[in-house]
Amino acid sequence: MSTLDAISIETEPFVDINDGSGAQAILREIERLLEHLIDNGEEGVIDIKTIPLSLHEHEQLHYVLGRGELTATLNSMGKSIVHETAIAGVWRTIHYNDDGDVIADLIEVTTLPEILKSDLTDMQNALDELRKRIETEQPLIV
Amino acid sequence: MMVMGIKGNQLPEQDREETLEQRLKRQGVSRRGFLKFCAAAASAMALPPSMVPAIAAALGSVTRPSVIWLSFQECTGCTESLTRSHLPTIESLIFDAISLDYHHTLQAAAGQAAEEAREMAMEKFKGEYLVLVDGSVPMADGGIYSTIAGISNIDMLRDTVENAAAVISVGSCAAFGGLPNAEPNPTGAVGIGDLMEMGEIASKPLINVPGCPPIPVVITGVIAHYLTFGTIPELDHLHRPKSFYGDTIHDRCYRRTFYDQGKFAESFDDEGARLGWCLYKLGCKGPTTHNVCATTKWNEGTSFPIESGHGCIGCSEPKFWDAGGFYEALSEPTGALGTAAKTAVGVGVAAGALSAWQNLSKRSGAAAEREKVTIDDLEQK
Ligand code: SF4
Repeated sequence: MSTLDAISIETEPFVDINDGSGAQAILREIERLLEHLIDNGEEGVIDIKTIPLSLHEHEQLHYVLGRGELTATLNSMGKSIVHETAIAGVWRTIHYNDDGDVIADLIEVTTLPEILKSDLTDMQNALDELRKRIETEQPLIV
Repeated sequence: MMVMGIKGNQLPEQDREETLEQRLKRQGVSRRGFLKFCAAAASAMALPPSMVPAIAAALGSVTRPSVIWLSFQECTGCTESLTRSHLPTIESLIFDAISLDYHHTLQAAAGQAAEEAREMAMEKFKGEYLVLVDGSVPMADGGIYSTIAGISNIDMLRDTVENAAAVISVGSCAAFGGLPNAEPNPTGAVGIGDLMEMGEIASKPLINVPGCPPIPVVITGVIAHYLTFGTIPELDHLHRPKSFYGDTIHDRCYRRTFYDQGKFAESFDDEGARLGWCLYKLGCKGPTTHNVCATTKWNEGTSFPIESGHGCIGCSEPKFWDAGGFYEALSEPTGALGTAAKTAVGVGVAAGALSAWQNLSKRSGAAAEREKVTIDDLEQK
């Protein structure tokens, strides 16, 4: 037995006591935010990590929202996963650090999460880079 | 790893003038990575995620303030807690967003060189530097019970705070005196706020971040708030940021359902304990303790004491160390109500609250400095 994983650990069954009303409250808030986005074009966001939800409520929330057709992965300062839920305009963004711990878990009500858009300064720099690449016909300028 | 960042020397000028965004960019972190950092920082600051653009704008323009961290009568638990913070770039936050010019535990410099670094920072950034303190200050017998480089804690603090922009007291010792202040308090230990009130040190904007230790992301969240907005967050009457200390543990406790139903564990191994019932009768101080353990949790969000089956000991409240036994059952009154109250506790919330109130009232000396909780208060929560 050379690793901690080799030691068998018995866990007591987790008693989940919450009645699930937290998930209902968040879903109602998402409903309100989506209405607002459609009517006024204003975006909204909820930080799930700071809300005390039981495992059951988490499952209930994400079960109701479902999973849409688009998923994006970002690799910068740890992984981030952005996916649209089955409800158009409602996105989930989970940011992890380098150790794989969740550092932010967001429900974003928007047409496209900000983090997926290309930044103007980056695009300006990229344009210069592209021109250099066209000239040298090389993918990388060292 | 962290020691490498602190040389005990002044940073080159160009490094100080670089913004956090510029520095991250220089290290190859993309704009998206920066936005991610801001989202994590908002979460750590307990700010709504809608503030991310404002945080990004602010961090894109602020330069690195000088920070002097003083450690007095303490156990280094607060620093231990901080270095286990799991923000994605805690090193960035501490070493890139601030210039930590002096910290006993983390700095490589020692002795005279270390003290010179502190003095240089104080001189160069007069009126601008931030002072972080962990540990209480002994005032008995001229403050001789704790000295650094032959300087008593009170003298060093007085000197350092004189031209500081603001002071952050990290941990319950710096905030309220902490364990060194426990009766009979042989060293005359007091907190930083007490010293300001006593006129022993200059009065400066003060943020208390109590806890024994404080939750790591609360420490970094408060520092991040100051860095980002250049202001101190909204504080309660004990100078604690409301964003982190606005609610009680009880307000956010996942066992609250059982409290409301009057279902209490009677011992740590009974059926109620196994079923996850409320730990109120086993001494839980959640109803009178303000902190975010129930939502932010500990050990990288794994759990918090109540989730591990132990009541809250109230470590972020003043005088928690002298406020009766940790296992003293708030719901088992020993005063006038006696058996009647004990019976009532078994039947529901109101009685539980009543006995809690009775028990809290009983602990006059220490309890006088804690927030009073009435039946109505508890019932409203
Ligand atoms: S008394 Fe303690 S265990 Fe019970 S609900 Fe309140 S905080 Fe949770």
